[in-house]
Amino acid sequence: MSDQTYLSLQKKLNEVYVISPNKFSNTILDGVFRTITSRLKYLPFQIYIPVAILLVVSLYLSIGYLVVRLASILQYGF
Amino acid sequence: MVSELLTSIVLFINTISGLIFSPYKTMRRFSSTFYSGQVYGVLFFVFSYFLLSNYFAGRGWGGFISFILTFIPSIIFFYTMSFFTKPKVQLLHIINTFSFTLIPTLIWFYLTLFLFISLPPPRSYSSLGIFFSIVYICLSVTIFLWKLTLLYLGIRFNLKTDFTTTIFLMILYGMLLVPYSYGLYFLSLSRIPFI
Repeated sequence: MSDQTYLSLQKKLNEVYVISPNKFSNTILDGVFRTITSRLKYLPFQIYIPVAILLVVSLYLSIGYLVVRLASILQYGF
Repeated sequence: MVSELLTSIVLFINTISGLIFSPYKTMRRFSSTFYSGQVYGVLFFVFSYFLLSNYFAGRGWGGFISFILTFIPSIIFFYTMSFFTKPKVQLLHIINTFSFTLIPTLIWFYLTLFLFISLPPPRSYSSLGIFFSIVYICLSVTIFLWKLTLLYLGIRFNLKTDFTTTIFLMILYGMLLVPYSYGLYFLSLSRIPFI
């Protein structure tokens, strides 16, 4: 292995261990946390979009037409 | 000069795609560096947005003043917090990371400006109006979740905090930001904080 490759790999390794991993006292909690975060690390939009749809549909089912007013407020809010 | 500019543009596009597809890796890479070209790129788009909103919607420069009055204190806040979490955090690294968390904000504000021009509010209560409202709020929530993730990663990598401390800092930041933004709204500078 050339020095350049070794240094590059060393840099990558240091980058990975720049922070200590999150650990909870509960192993179940640890597992849940790892499952969620592993999905958020790559292509997080495949989680965000269903969550957003679920939230907004439940919001519409609970407050009904006020969703339309909320959209108008947001559109005026920029 | 031209090659530097082109390099910055390519790197900027690469960063945005990185923030979309692998935010964890991208934020980790940028938390220990300072790319002036890319920070200037973000600030350029922020300035362009206010220029466009002023031109197309006659919003004035209050929003831009409010952005400066929120962006600088936010960086100072996180820099101050770094004294309590981990020593030797460089201010430039915080500026770098925090600038990238502005990307979702920028996308939302550009999207809202575009929709304000193409489909001006208020929305109607027809089925199309309701459908648009639901889609628009879905987009807003998606971008907001992305923004929260980037903020979380920014704090975690810059300040080297664990999950609990990071969430605590985010809540603290939110608790300070809400009344502060209300103050700016009260002064007629901005409605939704550009942060």
